[in-house]
Amino acid sequence: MSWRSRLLLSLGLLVLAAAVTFAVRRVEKLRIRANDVELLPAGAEVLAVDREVRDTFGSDERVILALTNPRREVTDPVFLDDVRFFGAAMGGSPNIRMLLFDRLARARFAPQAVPGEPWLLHPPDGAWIAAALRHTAIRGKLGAGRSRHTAFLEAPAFSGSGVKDIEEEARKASARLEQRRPGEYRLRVIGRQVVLNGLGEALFHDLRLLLPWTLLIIFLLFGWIFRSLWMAALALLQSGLCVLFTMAALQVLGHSISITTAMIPVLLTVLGIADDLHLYSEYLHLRQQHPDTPTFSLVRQGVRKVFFPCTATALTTAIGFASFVPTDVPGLCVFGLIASIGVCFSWLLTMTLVPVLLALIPIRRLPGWTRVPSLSIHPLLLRGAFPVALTILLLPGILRLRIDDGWSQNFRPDHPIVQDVHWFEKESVGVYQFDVLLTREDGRAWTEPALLQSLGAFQREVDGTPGVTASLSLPDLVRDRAWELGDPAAERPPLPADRLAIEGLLRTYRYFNEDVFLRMFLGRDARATRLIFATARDDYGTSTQVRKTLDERLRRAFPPGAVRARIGGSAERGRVLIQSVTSSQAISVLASLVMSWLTLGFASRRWWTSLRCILAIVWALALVLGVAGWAGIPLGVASSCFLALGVGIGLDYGIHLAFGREEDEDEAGAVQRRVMTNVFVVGIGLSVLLLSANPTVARLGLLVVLSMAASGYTAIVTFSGRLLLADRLHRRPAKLAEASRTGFLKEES
Amino acid sequence: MTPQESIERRMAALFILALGLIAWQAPRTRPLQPPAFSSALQPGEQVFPAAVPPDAPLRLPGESAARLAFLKEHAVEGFAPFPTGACQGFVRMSAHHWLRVPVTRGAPAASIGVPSEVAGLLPAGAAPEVEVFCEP
Repeated sequence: MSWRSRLLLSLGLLVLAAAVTFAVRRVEKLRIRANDVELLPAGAEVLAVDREVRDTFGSDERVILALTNPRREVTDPVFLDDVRFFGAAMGGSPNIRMLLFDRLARARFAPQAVPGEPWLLHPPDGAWIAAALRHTAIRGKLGAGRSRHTAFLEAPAFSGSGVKDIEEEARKASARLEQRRPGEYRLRVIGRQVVLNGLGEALFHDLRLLLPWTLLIIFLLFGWIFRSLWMAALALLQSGLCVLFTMAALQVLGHSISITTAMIPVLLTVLGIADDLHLYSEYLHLRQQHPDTPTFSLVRQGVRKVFFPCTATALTTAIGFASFVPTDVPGLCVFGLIASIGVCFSWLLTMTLVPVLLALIPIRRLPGWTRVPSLSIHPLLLRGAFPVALTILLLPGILRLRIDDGWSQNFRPDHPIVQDVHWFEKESVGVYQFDVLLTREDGRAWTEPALLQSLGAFQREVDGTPGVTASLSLPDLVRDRAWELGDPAAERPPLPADRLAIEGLLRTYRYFNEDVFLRMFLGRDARATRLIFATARDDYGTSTQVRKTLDERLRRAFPPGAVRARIGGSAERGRVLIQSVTSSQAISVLASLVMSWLTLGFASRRWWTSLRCILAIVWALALVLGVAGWAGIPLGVASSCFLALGVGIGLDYGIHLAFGREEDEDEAGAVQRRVMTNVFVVGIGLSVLLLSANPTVARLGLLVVLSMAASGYTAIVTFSGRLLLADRLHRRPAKLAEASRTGFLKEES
Repeated sequence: MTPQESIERRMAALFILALGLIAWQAPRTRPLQPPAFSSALQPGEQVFPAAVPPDAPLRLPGESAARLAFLKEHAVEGFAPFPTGACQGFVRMSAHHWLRVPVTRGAPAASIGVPSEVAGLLPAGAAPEVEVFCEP
């Protein structure tokens, strides 16, 4: 190596070291943030409704602190005292102290004067609480669990990090309670944000587990295929740098590790090595043929040979990812953008750093396959009836495909968060809810007795719907307060027939320092009200069914004109986001197919060959969708991503087979071998996703691996089945070397 | 230039174009800000803390100005409008909060404008703890 080359190499390595230092510092600052809003289209109606609900009724996103004592009921004075103790311990944090709510043991109206306390409200005793739990809706559903062994405290969930702080304080308070009453209480912290935080943590945990496994597998596979630990280490270095630079870009652009971006490192690790594999193979193949040529010349020649297919595959993969950018779903936009940046980093490293270091790697013995660079596939698998039969058998499975997802499905079934959510669904109203926002357009107020009655009737109708577990509304507030001010032994009275009486009862919420409860259900001008319907589960099927029923009942109960009905809430957000993400996939897949075809066609001027590449990948994805349908694998937020990933990654095989530089059939055989090795390595690498504790990620891993296998197969059938026949196995190495040398010399000249 | 070189150049040009587009788009894909917490409450509608009151009933300061400030801090607003020059009455509702109501200057203590919904709840013969402050 000349001194000039050495100088350039040293400078390059210095620049790389500086870039790595910068990237490491940036990555250290990355934050994890999981929020369902990022998966909703920016223009979704549910977001507008939720905004209106927040503006009218205030944010009601809450963290529930559930204290359970299996031995005592909540009406037990000891339990009540312990709830107060726990609340006071929580109150050690000033912010939580101000905003913590207790619907169970807060001061109540007492009809009799209490000596020494000349005021109206006093701490309730167990008997009164027991009666209130029996007769009132809000306290009965939100103050204590159905078993009466759990008391609920509520804190507002300002943000994901705020919820984590509340959880920490609650654990500390619980530890203090444990010292006071050893072994008596169990604390559960429940809420939608708790689930999202848990999901973020689970994904991060996955990342920390899967990434080293992926790297190890790649190292072993490369070491085995290329018989060189140095080459395997170089592949790892390329993947590691690619992931590092990409995650630094994520941080520099101000984004966090989220539900969507958490998958990027594993994807890039595997995708990054695909081009290395082609470059290594080409380089070793050339070394086999030209053992006396300087390694830098060989590696330059190798780069030139794989430049077009590798650039084309990097470009189409980047297009596949970038096709998410125009979608209206912010989380997918960020995912698409960052993943496409990562693919570009990977290409850059493969075309610059990897060749230079590859040329420096000492290679004592070349792998045997460099002499016979083709693999055999039985002709029956590639020709005639088999591909047709396979297609006819699998495609009907598409008709069985269904969309299904839900936040709790993203955890393993025995995960504590899932168990707590399911427990809360049985014990109380559940974590997920529909908010029905009813705004009067005729200028009347919901406090009119007839209108309040109509609300009550609508609520009763929806209550009977399967999937709805509980409901709360303005009539509940009125009737609850009427009961509280009356005889505790009596049933909850009906709605008053007098508007003044209704409004008088509602005014007491302010007087009793409970205005926050009233504001949750009635707008300031009394023209907007909100009904809350909790759902049994957070899955797409349940939410869709309940939403359908709500629409029907709303049409019947409030014909358009006088009342404007809109639906929001966490259950509706979940339903809309699953629907929007899955439909965004379809759009982005179509867009990336068209863009890839145009790109390949324009660059190569071989429009028909380019179209065949596209058709091969469409065929492959159709086969995988068929398998998913037959296997009962539902499509959801994460699992439907395989379509776009499949286009991005799977298209590579067709491109290499169609556009690999084939000076003769032996060269083409080498390309086919590389493609099959690529399918094998990428498939094995991505199969690490199957080890994920997150069932959705594991399902996505399965679908992506199937896509790789299917796209490799369809590409080979489409382009080069003719070259993989068993009768071409017995090629003579000498003839091959001679023919290849001729090709190489042609290139040199 | 061979056909192969020309293909490679076109592909390189497309790749550079894609890089440019990604670089252009990157700063335009802004991080999503989750919706901020919003309260529908206005000042005077709710006294905090709502769930973690002190163990003992609140004790009022002795000095008049401090007493008024303390009561204002621990009082919810009634719905009755305050006429100009009206005095401020504070009706004790619980060990930890009061209700602020308007009081006609010079009116007898018995005629303090306790809302009818509250007055109707008072046990027979019971008088609520009331404080009245008039501007000089």
